[in-house]
Amino acid sequence: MRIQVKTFGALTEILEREFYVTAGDTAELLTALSRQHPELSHRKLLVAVNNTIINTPVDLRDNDVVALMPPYSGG
Amino acid sequence: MQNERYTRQLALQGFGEVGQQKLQAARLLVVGAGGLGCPVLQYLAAAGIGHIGIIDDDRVELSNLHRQVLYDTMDIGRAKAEVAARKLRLQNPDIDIAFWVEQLCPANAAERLQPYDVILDCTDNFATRYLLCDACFLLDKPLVFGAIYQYEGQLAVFNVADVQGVKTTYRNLFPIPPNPMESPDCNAAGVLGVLPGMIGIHQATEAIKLLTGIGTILSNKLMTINLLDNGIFTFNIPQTSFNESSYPRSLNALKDFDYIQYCASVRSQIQGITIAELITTWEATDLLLVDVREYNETPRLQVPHLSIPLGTLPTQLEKIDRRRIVFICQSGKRSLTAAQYFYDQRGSSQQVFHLEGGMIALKNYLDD
Repeated sequence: MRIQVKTFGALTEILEREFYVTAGDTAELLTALSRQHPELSHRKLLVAVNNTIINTPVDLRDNDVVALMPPYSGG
Repeated sequence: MQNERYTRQLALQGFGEVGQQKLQAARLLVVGAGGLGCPVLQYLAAAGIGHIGIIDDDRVELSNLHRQVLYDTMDIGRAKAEVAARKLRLQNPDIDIAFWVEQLCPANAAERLQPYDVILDCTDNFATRYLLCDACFLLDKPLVFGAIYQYEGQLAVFNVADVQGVKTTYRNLFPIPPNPMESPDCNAAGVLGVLPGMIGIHQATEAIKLLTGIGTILSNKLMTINLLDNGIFTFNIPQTSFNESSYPRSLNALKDFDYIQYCASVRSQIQGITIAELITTWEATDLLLVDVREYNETPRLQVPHLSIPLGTLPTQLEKIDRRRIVFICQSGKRSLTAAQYFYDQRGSSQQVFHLEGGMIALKNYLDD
């Protein structure tokens, strides 16, 4: 499945702000990204698929958009 | 109420006299009078919110002024909550303003929040954000959340039911606090001055909508704004169970909950050691001392050690190779962050310690 990934905040220092990958589900996507970028593996990230936040892995379909976002602390 | 002051609001369709009376009767607490708190306070005071509370223990610094536009150069060194209250009273003498020059903490949270209808999270650290999240959930108070990073902001309204009766909290976004290394604050990461202005004004807008019943609230939604590409996204927050169990479930438990420790290290494998303990063991061959301060910070450590400034730690982990590691910094704060990070990367194959009180405590001990 060809997936669009959008990243936010400090994640853009590790990953491109927008890129395309192939993944069958969100767990596979995160595992692949963590393998390429080990500094991601311990990060607390919010994952959203097509603008809905998920907290368990979901299957992905062609053209799905996955957002990855860290918490921001500043005020 | 001076109606003339609010004529342009009273003229609004759907707002009118009734909306203004709701604002006049409202009680609203702003936690944090910094980048987000300034615009929130200025617009809500101007709009005629009848009772505003301000809580912040911080003092005005020169480096605040590019974004905290309620303060001026003469205010440097003064307590933000007090200065803000004084200026807002001049801006709108018709409203009642209370302030506390103190930090919101587990011991005072319930007492401070209880009298207010709506709480605004304008804080700048995760310990207070998680405290507010839990306290507002337990007290069932609407919480208007805002947070910023460099050029990007996050906004949401928690504990407010949507038409289906569903409510969510910050823990539905981020159940567990991040390691402090993951998320630098404005001091470390920088921030464009207009960003907290934009996010704060959105927070003030949500508060006004919530109090008057106009429009649609950002309930169960997370909105993000990026100033550089003008990107605005709105995400749905489903009310799903989350994978975190170690947080307070009652106001009594909240009082005793250590959010600073919780947000510095959710896991407790990092042991603090005292100066006396360190001095008796620092010549052991399996022990490595790691100073995570910048190279120019004094006093320097006078025994063999590695110097690895905290920011460079991720790229120098392989140098830290002995069985027992003691991280050291100036006050004991960065060393805890470093120890937590090291533990997260390396796991339990090495014993990880940090020096409580840091070099300041060591210097005092040696001077005595």
